[in-house]
Amino acid sequence: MRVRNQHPSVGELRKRTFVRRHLRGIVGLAIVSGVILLGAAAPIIAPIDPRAANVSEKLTPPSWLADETVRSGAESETGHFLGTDQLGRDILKRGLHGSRVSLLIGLTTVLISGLVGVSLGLASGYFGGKLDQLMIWLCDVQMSFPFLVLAIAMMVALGGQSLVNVIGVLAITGWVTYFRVVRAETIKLRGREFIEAARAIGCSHWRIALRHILPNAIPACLVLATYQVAQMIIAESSLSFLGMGVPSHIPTWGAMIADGRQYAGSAWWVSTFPGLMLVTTVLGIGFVGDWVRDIIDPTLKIT
Amino acid sequence: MQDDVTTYLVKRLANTIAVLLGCSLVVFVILRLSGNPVSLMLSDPAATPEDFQRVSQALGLDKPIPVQYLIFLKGILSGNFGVSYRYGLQAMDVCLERLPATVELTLVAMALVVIVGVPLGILAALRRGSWVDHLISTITLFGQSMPNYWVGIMLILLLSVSLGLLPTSGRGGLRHLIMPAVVLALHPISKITRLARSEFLEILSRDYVRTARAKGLKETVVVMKHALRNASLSLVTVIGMDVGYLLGGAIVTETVFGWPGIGKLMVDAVTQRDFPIVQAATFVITTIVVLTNLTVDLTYSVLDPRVRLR
Repeated sequence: MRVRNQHPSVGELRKRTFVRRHLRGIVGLAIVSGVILLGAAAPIIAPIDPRAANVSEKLTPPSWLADETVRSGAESETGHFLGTDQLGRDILKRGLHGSRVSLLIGLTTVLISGLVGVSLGLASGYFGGKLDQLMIWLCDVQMSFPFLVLAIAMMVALGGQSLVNVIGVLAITGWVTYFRVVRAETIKLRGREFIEAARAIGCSHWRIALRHILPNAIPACLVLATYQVAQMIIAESSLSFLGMGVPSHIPTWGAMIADGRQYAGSAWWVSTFPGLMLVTTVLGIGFVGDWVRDIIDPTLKIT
Repeated sequence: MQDDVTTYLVKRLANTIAVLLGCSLVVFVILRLSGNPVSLMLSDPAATPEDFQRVSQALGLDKPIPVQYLIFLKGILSGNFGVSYRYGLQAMDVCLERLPATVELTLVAMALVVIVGVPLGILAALRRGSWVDHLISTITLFGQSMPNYWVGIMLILLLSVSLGLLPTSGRGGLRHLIMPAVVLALHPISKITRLARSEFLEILSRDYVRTARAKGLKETVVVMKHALRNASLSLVTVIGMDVGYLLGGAIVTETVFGWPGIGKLMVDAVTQRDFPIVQAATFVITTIVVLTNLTVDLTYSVLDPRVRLR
């Protein structure tokens, strides 16, 4: 029988536990930072002309695949690592640029809808009354529209496809969650003694709301926000897939996947790789979200 | 006791009507914003200002907006959403004709969610921390991270194009139904599995479960009879709410698989600028969601009396 006398030191144990607990977060953060860096560097390391189409190189397969059918004259100097699409545009380069759009839209929409939702939730929960009832009704109405239905209808209403329109539409669909969470928290705290005491010593409503109530709602909102970035990225890609997202000259993963649809049989790479980039990014954000949630409050139930 | 139920019913119905009115308002606003219907119909450059005047009056567009809304409302109540530009038929008729296809898809997807999602979640909870649990968690994580249209395309690539097992599109028998239903159900299954898992974990640590076990009841009885009943409440609610999600997801799924439902109809209508159809389809979908929520709430209030006292 072998006696183990090599116990890991306390420091070693601490390190291992730390890594085990935070593994998801670390992986997630690594993925997300990678995506952000690549996206930010895209114009420098993979410059593309958005309207350039190299039709002679259309639908070339990834350079690491053995070419059984060599397209005429498709021996380009620099092999396309992930192939090209139906207009001969390099998929890897467009994909990197696509990450810019996704991240931009993901972050701005969450920021806007978060700000709107939190402030409205705070006001509604704190003051109650007719305002509150109106807001609840508005929430109910909006929740009756499935997300895509609302988004599509709004894109129709706003007329043209533009980046601003997409951000606006997505932001409008997103405020409700924050509203509900903050409102619930506000109502819960509204009746507590410390609020009463604050009023008694003359604190203004502003001060109470911002200084005492809001900090209690923020953690949950942070967790929500992280998950929502992922949701918004998928949402924007769905809109682009349907052809109702950002204008077509801006490369975005959803549109790239849509492009590849008709070539599913012949050029599988056109749809596959943008999708993989999307999935990886969303996964990374999901890991970060889980990690944030575990840190803040593991019992939090995210609907 | 009777009063409670009736009061709740009345309140809930009033709320439903208010919400439906709100939805109609949103549909109305959205459509008015999307452009003057007259300029769409009279795109002929030879149209004179008098023509505009005439058509506007005929359509009632010269009246103040609130009046227009009331006219619109009256139209809705008699099922009149205008005539589809493309089909030349009543928009509502076209929508209702396509509805069964979507219902079929949605119901099958829903069945998948309940049959697959719930047991998986329970399994994960019962085998917490084991490899089964981790596997299920990973699968659900992926399920929620992949856009369903992309999964659809990948499945088509794999099963239809490469292996030739299933048809690529269209509606028909079971073979046509499998892929769309699975793709549509992917997200909700992931969500339900996670929810069922956390619900069950919480319930299993409750006192009455400990009591049941202490009484010596077989584990199966404990799980099925006691824990499941209590978890089913919240699960029912979430499943009900998922109808809205499924209808939204159907839009994309139907487009990918060429499934002739109301979702695809709506997408096509947007591309073709067939506004009456967009209007009618939006309203149909939201009405279904509202009515489903109402049903779920009423069921919930019957199952859990505490709700009625709110």
